[in-house]
Amino acid sequence: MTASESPASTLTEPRLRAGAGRRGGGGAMLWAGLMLIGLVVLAAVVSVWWTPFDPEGVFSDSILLPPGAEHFLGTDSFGRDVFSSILRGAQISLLVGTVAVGIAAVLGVPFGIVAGMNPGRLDQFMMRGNDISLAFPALLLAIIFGAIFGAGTVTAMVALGIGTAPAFALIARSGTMQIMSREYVLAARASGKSGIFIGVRHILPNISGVLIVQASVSFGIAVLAEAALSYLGLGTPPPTPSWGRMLQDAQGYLFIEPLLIVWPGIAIAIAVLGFNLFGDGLRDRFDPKMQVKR
Amino acid sequence: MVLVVVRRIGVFATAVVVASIVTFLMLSILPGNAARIALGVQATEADVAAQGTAMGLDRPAVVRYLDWFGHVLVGDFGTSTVSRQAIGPEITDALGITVILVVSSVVLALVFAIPFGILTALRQRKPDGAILSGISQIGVAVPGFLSGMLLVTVFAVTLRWLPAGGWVDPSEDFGGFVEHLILPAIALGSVQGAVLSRYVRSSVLEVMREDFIRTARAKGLGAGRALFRHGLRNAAVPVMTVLGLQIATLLVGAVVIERVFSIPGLGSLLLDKVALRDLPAVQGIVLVLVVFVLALNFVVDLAFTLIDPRLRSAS
Repeated sequence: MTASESPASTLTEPRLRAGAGRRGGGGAMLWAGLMLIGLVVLAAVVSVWWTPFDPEGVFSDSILLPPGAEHFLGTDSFGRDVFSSILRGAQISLLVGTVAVGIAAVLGVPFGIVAGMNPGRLDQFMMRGNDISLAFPALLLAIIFGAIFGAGTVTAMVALGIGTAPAFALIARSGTMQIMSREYVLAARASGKSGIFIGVRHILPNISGVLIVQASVSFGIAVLAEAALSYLGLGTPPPTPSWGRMLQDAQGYLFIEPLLIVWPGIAIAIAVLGFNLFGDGLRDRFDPKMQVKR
Repeated sequence: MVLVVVRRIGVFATAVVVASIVTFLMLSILPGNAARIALGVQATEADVAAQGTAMGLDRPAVVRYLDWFGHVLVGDFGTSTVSRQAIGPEITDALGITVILVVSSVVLALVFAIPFGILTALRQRKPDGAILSGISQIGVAVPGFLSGMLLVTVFAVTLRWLPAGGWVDPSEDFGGFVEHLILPAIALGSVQGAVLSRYVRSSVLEVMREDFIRTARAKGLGAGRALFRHGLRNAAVPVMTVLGLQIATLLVGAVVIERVFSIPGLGSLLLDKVALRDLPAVQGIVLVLVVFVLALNFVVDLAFTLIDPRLRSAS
């Protein structure tokens, strides 16, 4: 029995709302995720004011040095300190993730709520459109936008945002459909409140939990996509350090210094793992159905 | 029954047409003057106007769209603004390579994900289960192009067992073809396998809670036996759904992997055309990729309709 079928569902409803789950599981994953995200945020913030070396210059006297006392993780083919580039690279990953997820939520959530509040023809029509958008994956959209508008950080953020929006629409719609049958929504409709009022006042706060989970997972995907785009030369232009472009640079030196692909690789994995664990931990906490029966 | 299938085909055809319109709008209307793009910034206004007439840009957008879609249906996809040749043959050759890569990585992903996911589910709440679960989490977080480079470092650079990149046609040299396919297929399949194994795990866990499994256990079957005899078929349905949904991610992953391994597939072709700003060619490749995704989703959808009687009457 799903929550929407039962009139007495308020006692067993899945916790769609943020902050509703106190007793839920996922604690270890949640904290591990938070710690990894904290690490990336720390790197990004610290590197605004300080990095061990300048990550944006060319230093011909320190090319391709192995890890050592002075250069903690060694230097790359331009003589730049790898550790400094990794720290600074966190900035662009977080920036692209934040803006892309923001755009996706702003576009996708209202779309999904409107579809979920209007079952029938409108919902069907909107969801067919959403299905077609899903056939244009975010990374493909970013490549297309790169071809049209020229590659760059802004193009990548906008394209990834638009490309991720359909996922938010799907989640917002299914959450909305569950909330629509609640007594307080029925009461609000009976007292003649407008659709916009119900959507903003009743629906949005009550689906915030699943939306935050989606945001966290999408953030990880956006970090991956940014890295892939920069690797392909369609993301952040030089000299701004980006983990993906570090990989692209390092690929030319696989035979000489294979460690150069390991460091940015670990950085990407930490960031993505952090957001995935955080999202999974939250999901376990909000949705008791996902928990293991004791 | 027949009606449902006919309706699904109708929905699919509509989706293809709408997707082609979206692709056309994005790449033929949005960028502005295609003649100027083809000629570069130094071209004079008169040159651009002449080029525009030659490319048929002075016709209404609807006519241009129908003309393009006609070329797509015939299979030549119009003319490249750079090479001035039909785009179709290039796309067909590259598509074959990408399909081989995607299919072999899906097979690898399933071969890995099904036993791994089941094992993780059965070892739930035990220390080794948590470790297995952690491994799949890390697998999801490592991008395919990174694992590709790591594989090259180990198996091509250090051990020299396999080539670092390139492509050999299977009709020329089958052994060489397999050698060149192994690393990229593993790189592309690894992320997919990790994602799938997590769905296999949660799907198996879900099924293990069903009453019919409890009955089987009560009759004396062990957890593994009960699952293999009664559960797996039921656990497979959501996993197949996820696999269908992942096709888009997989194709995009192939674009990047092809670049890592210098494989002349659709992804490499797309990136080359983007670099040349050959928008008519980009338009054709994008449409092929999108229709590929739509077609696979359609097949998965249809398969479910045929398998699951509850879906047959559903509108």
